[in-house]
Amino acid sequence: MPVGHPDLPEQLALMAAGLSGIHVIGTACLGDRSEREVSEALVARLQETTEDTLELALSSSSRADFKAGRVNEVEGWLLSETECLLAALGVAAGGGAHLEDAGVVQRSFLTVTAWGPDRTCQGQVFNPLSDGRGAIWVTIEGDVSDSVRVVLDGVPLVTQAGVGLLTAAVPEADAQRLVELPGRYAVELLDFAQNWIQPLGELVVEPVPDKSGLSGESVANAFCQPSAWGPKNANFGEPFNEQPGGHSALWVQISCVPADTIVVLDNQVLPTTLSEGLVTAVVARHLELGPGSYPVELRSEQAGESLRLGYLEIRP
Amino acid sequence: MLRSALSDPLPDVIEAEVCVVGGGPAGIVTALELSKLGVKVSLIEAGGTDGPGDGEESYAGTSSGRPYPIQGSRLRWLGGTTNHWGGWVRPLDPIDFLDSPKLNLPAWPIGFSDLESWYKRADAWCEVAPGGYDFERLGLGQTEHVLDLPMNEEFRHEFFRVSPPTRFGQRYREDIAADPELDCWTNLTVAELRQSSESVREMRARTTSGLECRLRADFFVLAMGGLEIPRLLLSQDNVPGNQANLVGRCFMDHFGVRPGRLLAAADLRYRLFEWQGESVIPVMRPSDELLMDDVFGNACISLAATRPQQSLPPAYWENRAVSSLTGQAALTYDVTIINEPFPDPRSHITLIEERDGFGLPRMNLHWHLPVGEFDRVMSLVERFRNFVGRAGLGRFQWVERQGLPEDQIPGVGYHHMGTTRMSADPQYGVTDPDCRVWDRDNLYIASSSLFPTAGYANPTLTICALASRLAFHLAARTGHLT
Repeated sequence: MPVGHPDLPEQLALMAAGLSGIHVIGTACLGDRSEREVSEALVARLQETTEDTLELALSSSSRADFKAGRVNEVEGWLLSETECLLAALGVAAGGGAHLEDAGVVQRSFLTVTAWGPDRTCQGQVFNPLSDGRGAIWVTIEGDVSDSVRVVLDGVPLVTQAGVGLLTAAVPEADAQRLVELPGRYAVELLDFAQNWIQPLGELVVEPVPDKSGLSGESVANAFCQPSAWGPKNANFGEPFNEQPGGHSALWVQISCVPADTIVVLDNQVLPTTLSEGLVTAVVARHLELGPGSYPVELRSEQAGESLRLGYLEIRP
Repeated sequence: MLRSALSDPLPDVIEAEVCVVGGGPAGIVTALELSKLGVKVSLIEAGGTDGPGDGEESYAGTSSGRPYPIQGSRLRWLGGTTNHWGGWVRPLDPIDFLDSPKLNLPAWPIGFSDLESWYKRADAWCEVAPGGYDFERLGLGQTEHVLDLPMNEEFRHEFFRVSPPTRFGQRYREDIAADPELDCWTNLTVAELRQSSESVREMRARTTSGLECRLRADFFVLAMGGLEIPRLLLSQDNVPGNQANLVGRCFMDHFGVRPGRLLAAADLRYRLFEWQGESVIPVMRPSDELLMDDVFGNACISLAATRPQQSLPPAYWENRAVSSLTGQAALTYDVTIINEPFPDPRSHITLIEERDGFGLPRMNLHWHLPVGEFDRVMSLVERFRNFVGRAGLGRFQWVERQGLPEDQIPGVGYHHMGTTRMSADPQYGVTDPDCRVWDRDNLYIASSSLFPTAGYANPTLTICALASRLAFHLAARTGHLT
């Protein structure tokens, strides 16, 4: 509509009342003025421009305001007088309803190619960083906004973003709580600027087996409680606990095992050596292990038992 | 060769043509460049190869003025602070080299063009993709990932490249160890210069276990960083380069504030991202014309998506009647500005009575960054907020328009600059344009302590460029280059 059109005030009021997000600034800009006063001031301002259409006149007038210093500050926001009048008119004309916070919306906003760890054993800090805190990693296609956080069990984690990778450290207090309690804990991505959340899956904390009664797939009377095992973490494409010859190796400190005990990694039987208090096994195919969590267990055919130790975490 | 003074037999004298003290990026680049040119070099690192060892307490000191983390901002082992740097890489802007009435002291005695070719070498040292730093060449300007800044306006785009980040101690350890011309010793702290009024004859170095040795060379390069270099110089009876009382003065670090928010188009990427196969971080800075003003310092502005504000939600900027967006979503961003500090002799290092385990006096850093120093920053932000409104790019909200109280630490870069400034005239600096200490014929400095002005760019690339340049200068002086 041309800015000289006689219906301009009605059209402006209609347009202004339909604006979104003007509740606060419109109320402040209106003050104790009437709708008519505001409308007349706005029409006069627009008619100073040489633009043909209402949209162009609003834009042009607004920019001219900034150039001329005709600005208002509302709640710290710097606004042109033109847009302030427009927002005031919107509120005076019955628009500018207060926007309710829509809350967090579930949405797939990142293409996730892998993440981990998704399993750990009770009492075992998963994927520990150099400072001892556990960490969750997420590989993604492309890059990621600064406002994205990994959320574990409802707690947003301090998240470092790089190209193609997010790393999120679990605060010590939460890590303690999580690893001590077997259960399933939701892992999600949150973009707090957009209020989007994207479920990833669950981190499963499995109960530690003991000698008398092991849960899940673990059944052990012949094995006793291992005191330690490792490595629990490695980097993709790199040998871990490297042995002469370039192979990787796993080790388990355990005082009693059946004589035919073998180490099983991801359902693959490994060449195993038993010595006093120690079980070791060679991993020749470490280069084939992609990023992810791989179950490690001790198995005895004679005893008909298997002892789930935990997971070997391969980091991307 | 790479040896530890704590575990390998320490000779009474370590001799070389050039002795480089300090195994951070400046020292490593200087030493390796020299050895590649056939110069016999010793490289002396106070810390270990993978950690500080027992000598870290040597960094303890005090601060006055605005508080400053003088210990936490440094790392005392091979690779220096590249063991914790983020990898942002960019040369200083050409305008950063120029004198300006707003500075109380002269700027650089060399120009950007003097360093241009050395910056390319520095890119290689920092393992940064070649291709330069011309934002226009990137082709990013007309995309939705950055604000559509009008040409010849008050603000313009630049970008940082990203180093892996190169941990110099790890990355170049094998090169150091395998180099027959390079004799690198770790866990050896230089505590004393034996010198005449014209040159340094030798240096005395000590271990935490109490062993001592002498370092002899035709030329010496101090490369221990912007705090340790002035500390060592000031602890000498006859302080080299102090003819203008500027050793340890004009300390600078980049300081950052988050003054407000911007409501603008969604999907702006003023952060690390992959653009056409290159890792880049776009930023905005004031135009050269604006910097000619006698108030503003150089600065870089970046945006980070943040929570929407009820007072002006993103939906407002999606209204066709008020914004230039055509169907695009809007988003709220935190605005961060990282600022050029100005050289000021009141910002300085002095020695205190207490001594460390090597017998060196500890330091006090008086960081002169008063609240009023933020006035020019806030004035620049004021220009930015008017600019984005005028250009129809968004709406700015002030969050913090006052300077930070003097008992608080702003965001700092841990970039220690200016304390042995380079100058064209001994009246205004500590070294000459070749990085030679003005009154010593054979004592040189490789460090960000040379910077007479600091711009906003992280200093590592310029440190490496200056170090390469110095190495070629010394190779000529030792007769290995004509």
